[in-house]
Amino acid sequence: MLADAPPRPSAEVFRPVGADAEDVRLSQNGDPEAYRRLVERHQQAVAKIMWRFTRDRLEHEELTHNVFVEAYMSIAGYKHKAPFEHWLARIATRVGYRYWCDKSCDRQADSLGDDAWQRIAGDSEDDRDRQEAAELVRHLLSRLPARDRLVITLRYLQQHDTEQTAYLTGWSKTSVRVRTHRAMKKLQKLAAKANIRLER
Amino acid sequence: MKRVKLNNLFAGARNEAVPDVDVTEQVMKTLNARGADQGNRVQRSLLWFSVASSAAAAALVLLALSFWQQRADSMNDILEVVIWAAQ
Repeated sequence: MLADAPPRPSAEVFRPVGADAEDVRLSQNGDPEAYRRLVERHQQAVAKIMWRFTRDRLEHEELTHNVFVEAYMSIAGYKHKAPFEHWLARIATRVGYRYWCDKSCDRQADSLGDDAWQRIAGDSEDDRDRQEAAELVRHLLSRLPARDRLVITLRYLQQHDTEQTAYLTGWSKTSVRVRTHRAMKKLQKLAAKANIRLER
Repeated sequence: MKRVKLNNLFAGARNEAVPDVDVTEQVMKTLNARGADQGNRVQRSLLWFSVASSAAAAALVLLALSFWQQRADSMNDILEVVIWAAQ
């Protein structure tokens, strides 16, 4: 699904195959049942993407819902240039980024305390369970502006390359490279203040 | 200065389990509500359009009537002059 097959932009027109192709066509003609099938088929993959944007369950569900509502509103404009799930991933990224931008005023409350820095530096990687690692990454990235946070999330957390990140964000490849570099510098600077050296 | 490997931290976070969601019904409800709202909006704009065009048509009729009356008055004046001259 989405996370296993990251989007690859293509100049050629892509023909979606199987059930997706038919359901997309029917949805474009206003068939709600076809769209229901698309939601059922892709909601878990979208939920996986949205989990990177919030770890609050209610907000997570709301963001996933918003992605499908927004996708329905734009489905007439889907030109089959990419697989449907990649097109959906792009909308999900946009919805998540907007959510972060709206939330950026709350960043102060989300900031990383000494406690969290100590946990990052203290535990050995083997001991740290996945959930705590995810929580720490969220804390760490919440110190960055939405743009930097997005580029780090896509490049390092979701492991997209520059081209895929550019496709998902709508930024140029040069812009993605520059932003990634700057975001990493900011992250390292933040850690240095807490006497921690972040290495790749 | 303590060292932390960012890649290890990210790798742990990447493998975290994501909670199951089922937003199908909620999405369909929202889309239905939006569809109904859009239908109402179309009806409302059609209503406003018909009111506006009726008002414009009424104004045009009034304008035409007053113009016709003015012209009719001048025709009467001319006719009176012609009749007076003929007498």
